[in-house]
Amino acid sequence: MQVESGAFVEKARAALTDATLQHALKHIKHGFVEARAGAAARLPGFEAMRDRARDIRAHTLAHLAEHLERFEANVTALGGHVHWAADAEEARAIVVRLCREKGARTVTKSKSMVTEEIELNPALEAAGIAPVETDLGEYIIQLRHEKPSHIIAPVIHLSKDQVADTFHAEHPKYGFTERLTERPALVREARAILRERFLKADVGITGANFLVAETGSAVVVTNEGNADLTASLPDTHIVVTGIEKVVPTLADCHTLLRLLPRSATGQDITAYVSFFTGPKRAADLSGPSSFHVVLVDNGRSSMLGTEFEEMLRCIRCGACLNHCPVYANVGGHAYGSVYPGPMGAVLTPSLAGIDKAGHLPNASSFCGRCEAVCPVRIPLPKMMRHWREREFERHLSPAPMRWGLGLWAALAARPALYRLALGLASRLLRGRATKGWIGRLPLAGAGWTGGRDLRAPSGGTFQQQWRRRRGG
Amino acid sequence: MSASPESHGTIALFVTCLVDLMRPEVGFAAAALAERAGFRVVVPEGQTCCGQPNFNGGDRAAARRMAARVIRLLEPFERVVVPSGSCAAMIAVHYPSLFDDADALAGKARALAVRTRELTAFLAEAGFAPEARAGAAPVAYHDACSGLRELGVRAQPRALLRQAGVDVVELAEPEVCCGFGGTFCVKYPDISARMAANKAADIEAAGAATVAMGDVGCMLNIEGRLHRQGSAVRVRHVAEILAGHLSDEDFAEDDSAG
Amino acid sequence: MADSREQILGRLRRFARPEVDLAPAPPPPAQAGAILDLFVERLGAARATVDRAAGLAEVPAAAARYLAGQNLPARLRLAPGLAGRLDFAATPLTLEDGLPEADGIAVLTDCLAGVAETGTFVAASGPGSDPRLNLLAETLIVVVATGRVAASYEDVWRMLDGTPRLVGFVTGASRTADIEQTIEWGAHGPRRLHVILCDETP
Repeated sequence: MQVESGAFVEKARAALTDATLQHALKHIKHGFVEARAGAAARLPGFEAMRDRARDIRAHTLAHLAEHLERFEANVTALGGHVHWAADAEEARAIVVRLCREKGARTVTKSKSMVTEEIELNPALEAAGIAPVETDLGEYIIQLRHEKPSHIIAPVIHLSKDQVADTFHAEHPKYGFTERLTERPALVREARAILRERFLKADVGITGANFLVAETGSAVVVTNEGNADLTASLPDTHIVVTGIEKVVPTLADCHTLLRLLPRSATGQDITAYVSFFTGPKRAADLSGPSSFHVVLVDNGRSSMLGTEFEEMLRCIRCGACLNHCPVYANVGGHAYGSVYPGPMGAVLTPSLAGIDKAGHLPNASSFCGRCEAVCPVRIPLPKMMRHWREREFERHLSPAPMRWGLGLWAALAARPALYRLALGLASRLLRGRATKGWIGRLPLAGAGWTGGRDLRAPSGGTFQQQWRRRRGG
Repeated sequence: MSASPESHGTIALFVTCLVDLMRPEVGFAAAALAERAGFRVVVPEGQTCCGQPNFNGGDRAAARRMAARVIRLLEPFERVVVPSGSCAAMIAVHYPSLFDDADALAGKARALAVRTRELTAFLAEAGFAPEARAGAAPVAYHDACSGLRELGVRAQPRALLRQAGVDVVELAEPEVCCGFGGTFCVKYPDISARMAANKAADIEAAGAATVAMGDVGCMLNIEGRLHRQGSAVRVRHVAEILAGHLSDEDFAEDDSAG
Repeated sequence: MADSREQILGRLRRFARPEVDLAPAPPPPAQAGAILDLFVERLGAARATVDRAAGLAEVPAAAARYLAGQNLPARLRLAPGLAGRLDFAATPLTLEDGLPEADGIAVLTDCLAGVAETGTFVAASGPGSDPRLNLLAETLIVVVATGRVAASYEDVWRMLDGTPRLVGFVTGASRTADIEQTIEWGAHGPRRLHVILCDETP
């Protein structure tokens, strides 16, 4: 998994002054935040359902091997195949091999974050197989050679004008030469082009939002219907997903399905919720003759039994991104990981290593809104803090911060010295102020005064004054 | 409401390092309110920092040492009051997570957590009714994240302000962080400043001449941003407004509100 | 690969905690009011249009009426489950064969069930059903039997014997909000969805 979070500060700074991006990010509030609040309010028992969802996921993780084996047995009994991939490389190799066995030249894909994580498309291309992303957002990203900036809204960072430019640059080869400017026309043009791809594809690759152990089903939700077309037209359907996606029963799955769209887009349900179970049956009129499920570990099993285990409850709704004030201001690309925002701040270091993802768990004000909206109640700030602890233990956190915290802890242990230091700081701040305000500070304070002033203390420290007035 | 002092017992006022250094007046307002609510106020000698910067900075070992100090310091007091949601949450929510069950301090940490209150939660629980002032100008209210989400402080400050005769004006996005975030504001100053600017715009749009809040961290951040952009909106700790500890400027331009 | 299977399962088993229990599933959320009324209301919320038919014999006219009312071509592809069971002689509709690959052909289909909870219809693959038709149609007209409208998703599974290859819960037409979080209809599948609630089960 490619992670480029080292340049987070620079990318975030650029994002803050990118007017197009800032305008695009404004859609989050109405499109997601207000929509989720409305959907949650409309469903009686929403909070109790979140408790139940948390319990279902926690229970599943405690019995993960058992549920995966049951899932596998059910898929196999129907004539499907289950493949186990320990890491990204193995997962790519399995998919490429399956495509080659079918002699595939083109594959259609419906949106899948796991295939982004394992970087499947470059591997398919290298094998001479053309992957075609069919989710509109993923299709646009693919044309632009970018990565998604949001786990459920891949092109939330783009304006419709940028999409128009992209189509105008890429679509003339299909005979569409006019530069379209309106959304309905853009969607119609993409529909026409992708319709051809759907009909011609040799293999369809989807992710899975859930796997149901009791039936051997892979469950995919979409609004476009592209996963259904991907899974129903070609002769082969390959599901690529993480080992943690399994749930025990259909009833459990429906509980999670009630929460997923409400948390994600504020919809009561997405347009398509599809349960794919095995290959075409003898009496079926259509459907793929082969059905494969690739179960990807890629670091997940190592999270079990650690302080990051609860992250495996995640159902990838994106609510934590939508409600994160950092994400809302810098967008997803600044994070340099296909998993951005709060869930990415915990998951990315778990999958790729904290040495590669240092900024991610730090770039949070710990406002806690992510945890407050998480449908499966993942304590995201707590786990980001655990990553900061791992960094601190391994001396990966920046030296000035380590010294600062060390000095502060030493002062806090020595009250007399602490009072002296605070008294001194108070005098310095008051001395630096003009009419009570400080407009510029040196060192660590320079960041503060870059964007705001500092009102100096009105007088000596509280403890000094209290002693004076009350005698202790 | 003229309960005589000492009729309800004693509270320890844990003022927090930010109040101590930056806004001593908030500590005095908090003490005055607790006294008016009928409590004797003690400021335990030797109090320093609760350890939150170290806790959130990943320095768990130091945070544990700092917590141990505070736990011992506050052990004699049956009630601890903190004029800050985030420091109160550090003690009431996070201290117990710092000690293994086997640790001798685990039980004491849990006991302290139960005895610790954020200031407005404490006042509301004590049944304190602030004196209503006639003609008070409306005040916008900003929820500090820790108090709001970790301690559930939402209704209490609003109710107390209303009882004091102050109309509370809601911000458009009361659940959005102002961008202070402890060390976040120095680690990621650009993002923090943008969040502060967004909050400042929200506050200006609310139209009140004063914005109240319960955390000095948010205060420094929001007033610093408002001042930088030339706003006349005043930032006050909710304790200052409830205690009537306000300077002349708070009453100077009441008609500018709304 | 067999190695990976054992390696992954081995690690998962090491961290298994058999003692972690899960309480029995609570019942699905109760739906207030009459199921059919709720179904119609939720269909409206999903931007589907609704018509009623007392029996299957009325369905051809209802389909023709809908297409005419929308100024759509009078071309219809009939789902296998309805083939030979409806008489279109009295309508101006032309019946088509094959996949409705090009826009301009409407598909008329029956389905397994309706779900009141969200105004959803459920289609399952099987001998009388070709899921591709529902997905490729630009206009989709679905006959939902009033006797098969369930309160919740869970109830639908009880109507099935086994698990068909595809069980699709479909709510409203195909759409996307990928560009500027604004909904556009007809992303890949139907641009419009029309439901004929029929008192006779096909």
